[in-house]
Amino acid sequence: MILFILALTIGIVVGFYLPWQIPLIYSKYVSIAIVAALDSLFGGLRADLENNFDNRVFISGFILNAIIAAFFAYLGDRLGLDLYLAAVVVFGVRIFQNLAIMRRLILNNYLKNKERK
Amino acid sequence: MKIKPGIWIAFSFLIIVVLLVLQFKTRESLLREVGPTSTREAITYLRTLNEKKESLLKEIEKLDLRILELNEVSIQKEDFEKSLNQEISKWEALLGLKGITGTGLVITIIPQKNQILSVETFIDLVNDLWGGGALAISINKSRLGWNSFLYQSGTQLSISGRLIDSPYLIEVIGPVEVLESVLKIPGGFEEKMLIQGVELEMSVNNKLIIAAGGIQ
Repeated sequence: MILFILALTIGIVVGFYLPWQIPLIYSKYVSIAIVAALDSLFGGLRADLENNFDNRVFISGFILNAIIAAFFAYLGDRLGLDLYLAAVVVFGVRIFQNLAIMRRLILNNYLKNKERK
Repeated sequence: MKIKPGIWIAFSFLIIVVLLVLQFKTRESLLREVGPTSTREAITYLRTLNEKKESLLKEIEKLDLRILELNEVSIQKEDFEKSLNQEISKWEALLGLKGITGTGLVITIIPQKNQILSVETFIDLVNDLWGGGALAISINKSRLGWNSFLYQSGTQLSISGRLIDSPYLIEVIGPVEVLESVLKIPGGFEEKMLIQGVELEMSVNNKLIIAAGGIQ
């Protein structure tokens, strides 16, 4: 938990003080990449809670998902097709699924700990 | 050394937060420039912009009218200044305070030997010329100003104390035809001179120059 708060603080400070902005034309692709990265993050958290976390799977998923999602959005723009919506829907659904599973796992752990006591 | 899953996840989280902040910065500047994002907001924004546009157009109309009014006032003022300056120039010329150039008459009066012309002759001539619309008069290169005076002492004539000798050269700037007709009128200056046996020459000069001042 402390690690997450630290990461959040450092991320905000670094992002705020970086003398750079994402160019407007790439803004949309970065948004999709962020959604994909969030999906990987929640997947990783879920895997950690289920005790089957794999560094290689997590890192490759984190990077590749973000890049592929951004590329899909770019391709969609080129083709005149809103392909980014597919990525948004898929990653959105997965994020909520992961969150639901994580919630259940945390709740089960909490109840088990309570029963033990 | 195996890195704990929490560190990997926290690091990934850090990257996502950095990207999110950068994205927020970009989007915020865009929103500040563009305004609303949703259709409803866009319609409201558009209405507000239209209202602003209408009021600005009315304001422009009012300001245009004001500009027209001010232009008229300015033109009137310019005209007034112009006519005032013309009047000032005219009076400066008449008072002999300003040099003047133009078309005029050159009158040469040559009395006979030992003939003395009275000061009244010159006063009559000058009055005739002023009456004929002369703008500037000089006698023997002495400009007649606002306070010049002709004076006779014995056989000597003077203008404001400056002696003048024959032949007398009178230069006049003004409407040549009127001035000539004033002098040539029956019973006028020319006839008086003829009666007295004084030789009188008159010529027109298109580029006559009468300097300012003279004797004041």
